[in-house]
Amino acid sequence: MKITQSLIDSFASNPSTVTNGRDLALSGKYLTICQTADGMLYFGECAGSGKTPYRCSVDFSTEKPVARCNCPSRQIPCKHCVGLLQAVLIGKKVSIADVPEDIALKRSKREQSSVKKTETNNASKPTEPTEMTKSQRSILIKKIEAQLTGIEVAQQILKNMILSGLGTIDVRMQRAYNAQVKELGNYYIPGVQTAFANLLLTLEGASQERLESAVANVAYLHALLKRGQEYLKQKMIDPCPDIQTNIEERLGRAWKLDELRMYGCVIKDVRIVQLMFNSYDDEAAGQTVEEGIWVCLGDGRLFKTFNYRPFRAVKYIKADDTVFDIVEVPELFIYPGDLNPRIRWEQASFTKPDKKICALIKGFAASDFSTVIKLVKNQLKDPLSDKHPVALVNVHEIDSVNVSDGTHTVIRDESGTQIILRETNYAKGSVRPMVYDVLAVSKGEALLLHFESDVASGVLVAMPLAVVTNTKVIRLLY
Amino acid sequence: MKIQVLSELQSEISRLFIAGAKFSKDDPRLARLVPTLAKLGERAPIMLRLSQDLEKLISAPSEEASTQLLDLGTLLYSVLNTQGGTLLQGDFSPIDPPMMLEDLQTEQKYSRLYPVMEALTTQKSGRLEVIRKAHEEGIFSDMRTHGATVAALEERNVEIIKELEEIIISSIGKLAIPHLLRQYDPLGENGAARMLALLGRLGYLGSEDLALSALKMEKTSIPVSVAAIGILGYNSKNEELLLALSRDKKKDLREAALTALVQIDSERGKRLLLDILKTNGYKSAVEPLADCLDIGVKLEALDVLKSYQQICLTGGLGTKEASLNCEKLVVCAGILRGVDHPDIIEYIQCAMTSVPLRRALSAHSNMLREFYRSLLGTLSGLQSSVSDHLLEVLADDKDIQKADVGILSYWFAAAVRMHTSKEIYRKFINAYHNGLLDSRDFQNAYQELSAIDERWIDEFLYPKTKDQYNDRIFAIRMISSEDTRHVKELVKVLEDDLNKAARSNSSGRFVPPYLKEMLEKLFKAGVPKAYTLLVRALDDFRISDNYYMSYLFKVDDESSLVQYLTLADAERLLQKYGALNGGRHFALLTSIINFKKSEAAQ
Repeated sequence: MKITQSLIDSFASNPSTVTNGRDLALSGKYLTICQTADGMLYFGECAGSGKTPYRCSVDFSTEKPVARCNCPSRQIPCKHCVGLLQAVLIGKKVSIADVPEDIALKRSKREQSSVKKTETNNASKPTEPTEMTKSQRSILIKKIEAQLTGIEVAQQILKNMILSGLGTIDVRMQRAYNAQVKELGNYYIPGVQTAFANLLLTLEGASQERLESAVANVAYLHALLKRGQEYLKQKMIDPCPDIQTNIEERLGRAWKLDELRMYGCVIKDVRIVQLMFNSYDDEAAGQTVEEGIWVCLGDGRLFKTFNYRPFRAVKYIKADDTVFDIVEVPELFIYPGDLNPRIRWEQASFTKPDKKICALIKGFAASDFSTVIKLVKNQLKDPLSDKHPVALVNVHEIDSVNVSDGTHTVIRDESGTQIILRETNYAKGSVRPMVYDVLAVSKGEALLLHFESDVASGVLVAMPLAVVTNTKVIRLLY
Repeated sequence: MKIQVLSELQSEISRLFIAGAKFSKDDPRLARLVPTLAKLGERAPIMLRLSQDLEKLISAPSEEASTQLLDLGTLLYSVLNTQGGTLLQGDFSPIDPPMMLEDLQTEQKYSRLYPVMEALTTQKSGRLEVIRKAHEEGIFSDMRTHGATVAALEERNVEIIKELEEIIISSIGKLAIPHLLRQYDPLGENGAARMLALLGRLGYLGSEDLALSALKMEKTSIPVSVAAIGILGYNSKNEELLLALSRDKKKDLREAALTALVQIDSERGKRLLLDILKTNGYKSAVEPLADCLDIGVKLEALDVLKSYQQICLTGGLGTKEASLNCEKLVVCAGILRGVDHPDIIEYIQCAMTSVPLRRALSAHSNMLREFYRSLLGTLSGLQSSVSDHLLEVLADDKDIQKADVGILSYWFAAAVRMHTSKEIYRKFINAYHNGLLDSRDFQNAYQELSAIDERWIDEFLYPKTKDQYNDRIFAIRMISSEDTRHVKELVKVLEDDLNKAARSNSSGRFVPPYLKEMLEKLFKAGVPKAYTLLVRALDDFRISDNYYMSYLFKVDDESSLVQYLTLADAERLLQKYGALNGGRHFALLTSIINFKKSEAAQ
């Protein structure tokens, strides 16, 4: 296995592990570094603070590299394993050795268990939806009943809030509502719980601006409860989940890949390219969200990836990062939902993109803005939809326009249809003072746009995320 | 862009959400919207539905009001989301691309870019290291960092600003100009001044216009004005304006204008400087005159200096006039810097050897020392044979030596340029013995010493001065591996140190600070005894004895002294340090043992 920096970056769970590992390698902490003759296993000893060095290894003989270390860290791979690869990369002495006994033993155990797992998977996990057994159905009905009870409780909380008014919620009441929202955790509706938490978080500080944005959250919550109730009642009769809309996910269902496969939400042998990456904290859900926007090289569809890392476990969950390579995915799982559905994959291979790829991506950009706007608005009118759809459009003209409230930048298609470009909350905290000037070079190029409906001023605006030219992708965020 | 009635309905609905649904019953502000919506509903069914829902809300009893309000609110938001306009009416103008498409590079990953952006935009600790490392790794070639880098010029940390101004933004070059222009605020403070100065330094063609407009504004801050004046100093056409500014009420502006006048080589500016030098505002003229390399001007300034000196000498000791002129003389002494002219050198010689002047300046604390240092600095900076010779002469002056200005250090730096190594030894050995020179002076001049007299090595190996450790370290560095005589001396010194340590108690044993360097030199010179001495040092001392011992285990450039250990000795010492639970030392020994074993196996 050839060790490269991008391999190490993708192997490490977060950037600080890469830094710490590099520091270990540079400070000569590795007492021994060995590799097997086939290059599929790297192992060595790394000095720690105790008298016994840590024994770490990275095994590439399996589909996903396996990191093993006897250090007490809960993070996998730990800095010792990442540093081992860094040490190899920076050219430390590597001796050829046989596979150590303990690793050979672990390898054989892993092989046995993977064979067993495959057999079990093949035997127990159907590729098509099957009739539920009586007991399965009874469990599901009980769960739905609990969910419906939870929704009723949530509806009551919301009604009380609205009856007395959002402006009357003081710190004491907020604490009481928070306690009630915590109770919702007993009813298998984490999506509702998060929506409530988001509403209460918006109300903190209680400025007029915040109160007004809370109104939009209330509308979402009400729609979720109402539609969720109708959907769950229907599900009591027909337990098959809805894979046309995102209602299941909005209620808080975490789709398993096997389930998506079973319901046909999968496409085979796809090549995708990332056009944008961003990471932000979702305080209401208590997690860091890493979002990527990807274009499918087959049909130009735009997808989103989300990697959720709860704050309390952020160190132990692998972080996503910017990807410049073409990702070849044998099986791409597509979540039910919107214009830009969420995607995931289990296995992928990476290839360096050539310049033609950019021209291909640019070719997918829409030249007719009115169609794009129609699609976006269609999505936005659904209260439960993703409120920030993305689209790739061809820029015919780009101008600045002076209106009463200041200078704006607009792009136009050939027929003169406009899209207003403006910064949205999505880029909050980023320093992008030059973006709109830089965009002047995008005339005749394609722009990746992130739409947002500004209900207060009654405009549909778009924030540019990337410029796609015939030769490169210029990322304006990350 | 919104339909008026929808806008009004949204505002009423928001009001009710905030105030409480209980106030909706028979609300006249809601009721007045119903007919309009109903009328619109004749053509658009969704409007009809809104009007019906609104009617239901108005008539709903308070217990049902919240449900009705929620229904209406949700429907209204759905409608509003489809109403977002995309058309702007106004004056359209094309945007000029600030840079070329091919210049735009965005090839850094989030994981590498984010820490840099964080360091540039927050006040967390350790930012300077992140910024320096990012520069080394080429992260600043990514255009996404440029805006934040320029914005960080508003930073308070002086070191970060220096790094950004002098290294990073200079390396970004012209690509930084659009960002500087965008973020430059003529009414800003220090950050804006730095941006303006950088625009000038990066060669932005409009920087002079920016500077002129900043100076015309009433509320321009002093730092921005100073930066603007600095930019005017790039163009001789600005002479009149700079002359006008040199009479400004504000001292900072006056000084900046005078410096700029020197920069454009303005004759009138130079005359003005000389005039100012004769007034009580002479301090403003000192730095600009020091930067001026015009010999004529320097000589005229020298005359002014001499006139101050004359008053010092004739004004009478302790008089106010004499005291003021002494201060003028000391401050203005710096103007002689940078020009090698016989008159200037002659003046320095006369001034430094003048007994009356010495007496006059000695009456004021530190003035004599400041005056001498200023003149010696000028002399030393010239690096000509005449100046070097004068330094030699001055160094012999007992009174100058007494003034404690480090004359011998200045002279030593000059002497290495003009004398052979043997002569230097002869001239300076006594000064070294008397503690007037130390190894630091040798280290400063070491680069220029083509061949050092080996007698110095003997002196430094067996120093008689108080700074004996540094002297001995310097001696070790000077000894070449081929110099067998001195290498033997090193062995002797180390053996003496080890014997001395062996005689002392186990606690508080003396570990020489140069132990590692000495052993390294011995190994490099291939001294057979080096190994024995290393093992003896490792046996006699423990890591806990002194931190200099841990230097033996320090890994520099992939090597450590303990790598020379044999397997048997390494294993024996491992037992010793193993009992100490000795962290890195233990690990290093283990590594050596493993390596030796694998070597033996092969």
